[in-house]
Amino acid sequence: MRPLPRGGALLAGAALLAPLLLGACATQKVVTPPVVISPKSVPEANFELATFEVVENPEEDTVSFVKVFVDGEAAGQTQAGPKSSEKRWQSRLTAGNRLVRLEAWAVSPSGEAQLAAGDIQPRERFVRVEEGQRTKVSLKFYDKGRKNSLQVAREPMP
Amino acid sequence: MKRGLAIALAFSLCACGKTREKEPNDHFTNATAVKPGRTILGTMASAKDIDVYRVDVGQDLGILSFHLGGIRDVDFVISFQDKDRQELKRFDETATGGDEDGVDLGVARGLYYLALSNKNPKADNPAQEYGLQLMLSSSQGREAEPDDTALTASTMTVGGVTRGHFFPSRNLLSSTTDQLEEDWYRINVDKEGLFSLNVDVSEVPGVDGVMEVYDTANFYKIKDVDSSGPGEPEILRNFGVRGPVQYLLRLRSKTRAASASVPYEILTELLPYAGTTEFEPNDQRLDATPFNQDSITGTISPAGDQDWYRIAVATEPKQLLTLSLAAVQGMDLVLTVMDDLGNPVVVSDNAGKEQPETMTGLGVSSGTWYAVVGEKSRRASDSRRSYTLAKSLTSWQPGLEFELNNTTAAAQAIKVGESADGYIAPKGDADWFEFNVYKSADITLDVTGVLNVKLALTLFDQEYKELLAVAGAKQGEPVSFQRTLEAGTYSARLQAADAGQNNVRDKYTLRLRAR
Repeated sequence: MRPLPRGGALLAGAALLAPLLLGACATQKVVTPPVVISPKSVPEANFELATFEVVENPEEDTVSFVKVFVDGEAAGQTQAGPKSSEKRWQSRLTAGNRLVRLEAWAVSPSGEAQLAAGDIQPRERFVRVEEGQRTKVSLKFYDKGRKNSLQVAREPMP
Repeated sequence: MKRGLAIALAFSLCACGKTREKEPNDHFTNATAVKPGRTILGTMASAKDIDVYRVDVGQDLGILSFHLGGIRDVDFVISFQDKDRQELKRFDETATGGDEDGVDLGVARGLYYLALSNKNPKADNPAQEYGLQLMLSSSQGREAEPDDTALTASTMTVGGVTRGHFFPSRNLLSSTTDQLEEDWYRINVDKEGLFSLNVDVSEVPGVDGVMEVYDTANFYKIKDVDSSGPGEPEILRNFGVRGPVQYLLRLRSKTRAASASVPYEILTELLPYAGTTEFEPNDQRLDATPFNQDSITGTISPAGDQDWYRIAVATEPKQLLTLSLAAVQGMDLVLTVMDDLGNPVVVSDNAGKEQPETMTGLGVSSGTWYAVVGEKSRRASDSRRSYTLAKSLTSWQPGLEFELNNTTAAAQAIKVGESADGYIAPKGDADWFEFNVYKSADITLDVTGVLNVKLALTLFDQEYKELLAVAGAKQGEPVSFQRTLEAGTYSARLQAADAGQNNVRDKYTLRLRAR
């Protein structure tokens, strides 16, 4: 093996040392904000849930989502996203007075989903779904998630 | 021998008590020397005559006062000056022929001047003698004029008695148009810690006194006390002090009423703060007194006083906060509970004058709340009578009302088969309950009667459309309905038929059943 010329030896050394140096500089963690996935659009959806939370500071704006149960059965869930962002779920439900239960979930930094405490969960209630009308349910969490308010509105289907 | 005794007696009589002016003495350079404790005799040779006396104070500190007897035709004005002829105080309380007095003049070792002049251009009484008496006393516990500004405040010893006068009626050296006479005192608290300062200013007949407290950093007025009328004392209670600190006290007469003969006495008391009294000033959210114990006392003074108390709820599980405010003679107290931003949440004004107020269980979880005590008319005040505000924090249990449930958005959940105990209080209270019916059933909802309240119960469907309304036959009567309901979510609103009715003592029981 031919020995490297002097300049080449220097370059080789630098090439060996570079990864070490780069590794040493990489002391700061890069925090990637969670990816907000747009909700799946359901054609001719006649039921829409929109939910968000009022947060007081950025540290509280962690990831959450809401599961939807209709008439006792799991119907789907909103996308996961920061608490302050609006998360949606759409579906086409049979007309009638449907028992709707919304379940608040939090996502830990490790990505694990955790059910929120029972005393802050929204109450299940009946929501009327009518023919030719889109029922819009708006769920807002506030007071550090301890309270919530639910509003139901209807508009003609487009 | 007898002649010798007579001469000696004559000399001794001349030596004590009286001095005569030595004209000309119309300038400080030829002022007549006088000593305190003596009477000076002089005359006003003409309307323009000025008599200047030089007072030599032979002690470190003292209080000089004088009395000048009036003479016919002459309207005396007396100017009190320091050794550099800087005028310190001017007295002109009476008209032609009247006596003049000067009190509370603070002096130190050295020279002072008293210049007597006449205001009446027509005065013509060169023969009649006036008598000017000078007295010097100890400065201990005494006002020391001039103390008419914050910068010249007299020193006050906390824990003792300080005597002064609402006198003269006007500060003739003031450049302001009203020439208000006021007395300023500097209060020094040397000790470290939290204290309650009580200040009592005794009454002076005919004088309506006002007392104000200022900080020394910006001369901001922190407190004013004017609870009483003429001839009555002024009292400051529970003024919170964080030592070491200095404050300024300003005393004045509301009108021009004054008294040279009757002094006021300022009695101060400094007590370690135990957390059982308000810590004034607590007139706004930022200065709220921490309310950590079971009860706390305070006073409404001056008129319009609002006392803020901070209640910290530390634990997360739901709790019920109850507040009771004892009655105070002559006052209609109002109790308001505010959230942590100072927004009113509950106003308890259920009772009238001289009656207690109670805020029944407000549902709270960890956070900060404020209780504010005030007087409804904002005109009553009395620093002598204190109120007691008591609080209790108990764990909320299912089956108890969790206020605020006054709106559809805050309706309290109840299940068929359950019951809830609550209050129709304060005035105007409305309690909302929400329940689900999972399959068609005969639903009965009944509510026990409450003394003094005629109950009104309304049922709404899940779109808040009114389905039925029932009311008790009369006050104290129960109310109920029975109806077949299809599966759905329903709300019931319970309130008094008359918004003025309420009962903070007796709970109702609401029971929801299905057949």
